Amino acid sequence: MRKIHRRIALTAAIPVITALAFSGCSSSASSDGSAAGADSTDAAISAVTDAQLQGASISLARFFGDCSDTVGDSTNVSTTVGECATITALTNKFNAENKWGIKVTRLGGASWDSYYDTLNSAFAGGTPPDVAIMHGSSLVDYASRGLLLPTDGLAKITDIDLSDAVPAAKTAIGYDGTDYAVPFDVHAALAHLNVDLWKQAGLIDAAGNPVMPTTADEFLADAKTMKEKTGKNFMGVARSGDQLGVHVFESLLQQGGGDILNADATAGAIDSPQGTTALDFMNKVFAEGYADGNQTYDAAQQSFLGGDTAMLVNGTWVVDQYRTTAPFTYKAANFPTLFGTPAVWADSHTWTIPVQPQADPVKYRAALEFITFLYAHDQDWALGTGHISARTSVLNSDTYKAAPQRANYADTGLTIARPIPHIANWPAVSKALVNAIESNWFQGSSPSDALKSGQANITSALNQ
Amino acid sequence: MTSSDTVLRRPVTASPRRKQTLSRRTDVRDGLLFLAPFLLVYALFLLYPVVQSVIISGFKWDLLGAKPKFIGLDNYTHMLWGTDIQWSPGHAWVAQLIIITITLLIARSLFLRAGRRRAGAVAVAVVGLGIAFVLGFHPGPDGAWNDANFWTSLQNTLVFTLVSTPLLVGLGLGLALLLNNKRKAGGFYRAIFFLPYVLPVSAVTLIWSYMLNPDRGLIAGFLNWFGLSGIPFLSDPNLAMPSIIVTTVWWSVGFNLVLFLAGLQDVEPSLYEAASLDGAGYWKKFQHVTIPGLSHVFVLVIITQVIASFQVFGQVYIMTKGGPGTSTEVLIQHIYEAGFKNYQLGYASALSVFLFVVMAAVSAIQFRLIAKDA
Amino acid sequence: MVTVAPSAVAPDTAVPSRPIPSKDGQPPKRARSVRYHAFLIIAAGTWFLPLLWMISLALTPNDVLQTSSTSLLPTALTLDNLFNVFNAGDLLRWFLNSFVVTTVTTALTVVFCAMAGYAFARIDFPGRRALFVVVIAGLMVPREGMFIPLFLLFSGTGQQNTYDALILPRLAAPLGVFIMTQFFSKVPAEMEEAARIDGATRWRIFVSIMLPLARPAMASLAIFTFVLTWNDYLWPLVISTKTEWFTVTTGLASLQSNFAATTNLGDLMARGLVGSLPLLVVFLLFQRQLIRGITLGSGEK
Repeated sequence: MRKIHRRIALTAAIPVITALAFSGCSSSASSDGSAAGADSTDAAISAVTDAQLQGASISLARFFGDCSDTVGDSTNVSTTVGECATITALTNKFNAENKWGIKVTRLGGASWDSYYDTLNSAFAGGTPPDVAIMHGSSLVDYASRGLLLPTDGLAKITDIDLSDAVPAAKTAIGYDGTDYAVPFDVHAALAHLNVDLWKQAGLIDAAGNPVMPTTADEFLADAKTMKEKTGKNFMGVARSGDQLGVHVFESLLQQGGGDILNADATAGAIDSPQGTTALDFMNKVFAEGYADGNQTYDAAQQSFLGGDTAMLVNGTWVVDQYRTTAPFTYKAANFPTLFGTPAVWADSHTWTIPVQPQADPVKYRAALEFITFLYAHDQDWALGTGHISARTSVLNSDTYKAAPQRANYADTGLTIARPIPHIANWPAVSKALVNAIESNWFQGSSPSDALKSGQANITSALNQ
Repeated sequence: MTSSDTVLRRPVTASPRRKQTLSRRTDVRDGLLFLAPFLLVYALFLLYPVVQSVIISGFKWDLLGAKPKFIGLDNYTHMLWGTDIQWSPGHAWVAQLIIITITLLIARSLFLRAGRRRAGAVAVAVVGLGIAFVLGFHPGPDGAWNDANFWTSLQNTLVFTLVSTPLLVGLGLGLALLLNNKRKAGGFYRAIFFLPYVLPVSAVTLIWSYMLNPDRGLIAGFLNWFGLSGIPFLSDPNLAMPSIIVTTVWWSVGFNLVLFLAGLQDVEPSLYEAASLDGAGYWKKFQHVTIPGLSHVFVLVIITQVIASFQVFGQVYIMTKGGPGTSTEVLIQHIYEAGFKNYQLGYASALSVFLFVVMAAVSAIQFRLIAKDA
Repeated sequence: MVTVAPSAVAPDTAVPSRPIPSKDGQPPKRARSVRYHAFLIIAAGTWFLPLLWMISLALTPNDVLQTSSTSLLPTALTLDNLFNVFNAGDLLRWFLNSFVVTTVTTALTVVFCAMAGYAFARIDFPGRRALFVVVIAGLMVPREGMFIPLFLLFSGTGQQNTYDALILPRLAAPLGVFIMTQFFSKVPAEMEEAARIDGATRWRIFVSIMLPLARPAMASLAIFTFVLTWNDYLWPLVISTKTEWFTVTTGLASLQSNFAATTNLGDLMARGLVGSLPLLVVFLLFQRQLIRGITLGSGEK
């Protein structure tokens, strides 16, 4: 035991003292891996041979949860349901089938909400993962700091056809005219319906399909009918401890022609007539008891699956989970358009290759091969989860079109989805937005005060 | 600490023989050698971070790369100021009135005591009135704080501290009084109340997040039993902070219980006997023997409690992530997020320095106020 | 007049029971005793309830919990959840980390603090008082708030995800020095004198006379440090970016996200229970030392 102490004390003391000597100057590694060196890096990655790749091992950082205990070593991606199982099976499949014996090991069990904290910490310590998933909305912060390998050149090496990416996904991976990732999906908020309740309330057409409201007034009238006929909530959304409630606000704001930021993304724009209308409408829905404002993600989902909510606003990621487990007739639908222009909150998952201090072309190449594989299997991801495929070819394929529920919300992918702003400092801006709306919901600020101070805070966050 | 003097004031060794055996020079050498390991870690991992925090807070220091840039006091203006900040005397008049009243009461009682306390009385008055004055600042009709979340998290931290401290002190003392006897099973009761203190914060939050869950929790089950529906404790902005306080009290009251018990057992039994002979009842004895006998424990418990409460993080971060809204966001969480979510280490350090200054001030005032002979 | 309940005072202690004046009209002693115990049993029972519930959930099958988790006692019993803890996931690795970090931290803290305490209490060198004040002033530093410079220090030198990073910052424990200084200052001078005359070196005196004397104080400090270190949350959260470098405390926290919780409540509680087990064992075995550690820190005894 004593030996261990001594060794630990010794090994620690030296670097720490060195660090002290250079105190303060130890900012993080890798500040400019940008375009200048990109060509030579690409050349080196391109030159990596099959023999060099043999037995390479790379680390993968992602959210989506940990389900190694349920999925095990299964590589059967056609039967998996949900994000966690599907990505786990896809990773297993790559590990089992790639011809070089590249091994992908997953890092970190971080949940999605602390994923970026951990990732930032790893970047700062100069030990970023070899492959990292990122939301399109977060990518700019990393790309602009030169922390990600540009992918336009890399795509040519392994024949990734980025022109096949749908527009929303293409936007998500870009920064300043260069691509920095390979897209995986477009995800958006949907209306998940309990058709049985809609029938009971008589809110269906001749064919028995739910008739979605097309204006705010219709929405409130339908909600009233639902309450009277069934006693159930018309809408459910995770407003507490989750951002889905705010995503509904964003969507309604944009439907009315408003937006989160002004046109050149230099200032907030939520303090607008459209913002007030959207917030007032939502408050009315909660105040009238058509939705429960204190639901968490868990509670909203339980209430829907338990048959107590007619329409749950949740992401594309649960379509197949609900389709397979809901004890009633389930239908996924586009988020209703209540204020004119179809619009709904959307974002993208993308795969990035972080710049490494060691810049080992073999690891880069192995990482590239892995994300090439994931892009090639984009259809499995879309079919296993409910996400909208990032690839036009998949969206147009017969298999995808024939898959359950997908036709019901095809428009979300094609026309309705509104990717959130693709700007630097999005975490701070997003937090300011969320705080503003939640200050009205939870802390008694009036809608006008909330929007006004929220807009100021968004502007201040933008200019940091 | 009060006892720093009492510990060192004792003559170390006063034997005339020692000069023959151990010279002054070996004393210096030995002293440094014995202190070296601790002083090294102390300097590296406690003093250095404090100094370094102050330095970093003068920079725009990006977590992810860009070179640190010296910006003087900008981080502090960002933290403490805003656009169109105005001052009006009665802006937060309720809080101001309370603070002024308390300040004056304390200052008066200090002033009326021994003369050497007068400086203390003036100091308390200056600090208290200063805070009341500062509370008059607020953003004008077209203004906003630069970092509104900072003020919210400061306020939440203060509320947490001001509510949980009396609860923890009061409950700890009450239980200690109940258990301070030789009745059977006293040790058993003490063990039960003390037990939660040893649990990791994440086990505590695991238990309580589900205890409080409106659908699956034990409390909801209990309510259902009476035909009531579950209460969404953690997602109701009015109940979230109280829930976290209850969790904290459950977790850590045992610590204070133990301290008070030890303190009670140090109270001279003869004092009780004397008081009884004077015909004092239970309440009188409590007032005139127990409370004065425990005064040093009170100082300790309150200081420990305030210092710990100001740094509350784990319970909040795991149970509510600061929500709903910002209703439970606390200072340490704000520091953490400024650094690791918004990449601003410089600003995060400025927040740390603020916390440090406030805590040093609070400790100093507490010593002045409560310590027997500060 | 004073009546001290005869059963209440053990002859070897100076601690009195709360003196209870026996006035007329007071209920008889037995009734009061029953009331006293009834009250405390209810209070202690309530206090223990949350823990009991965790144990009960850990012993209930997951599928039963899907439908109902609001009962205090398990409606069906299983040990699967507890076995699962060791079959899947990283808990074993977290255990190892917590164990290494905690034992090394505890051992080093006790040794460093004992040495420093001895120096402050028994060696007369210039600047002693000033240094002691500097050390004690460290008690006022908000440790939790000072993680940014520490993070830069360790991440800048590539020390993330190492035992060094998890252990070293914990060693700067002024409270431990305070405890040990206080202890050594109360050891009678004569004990050292004899050894000095024999020409023993300072180190020999420290090791062969002082340390054995200080064993109880050191044990208390050790147990106290053990509990605090095992339960440390913010620093391991900041400095460990890989799951395999989590400790039990941060690891358990990472399992409690919205998504994981819905289905496997039993597993989750089992992990919480097993993760707390070492502390519960320490508590059962060393409660006395732990409590003394706390009171020593207060400058009480």
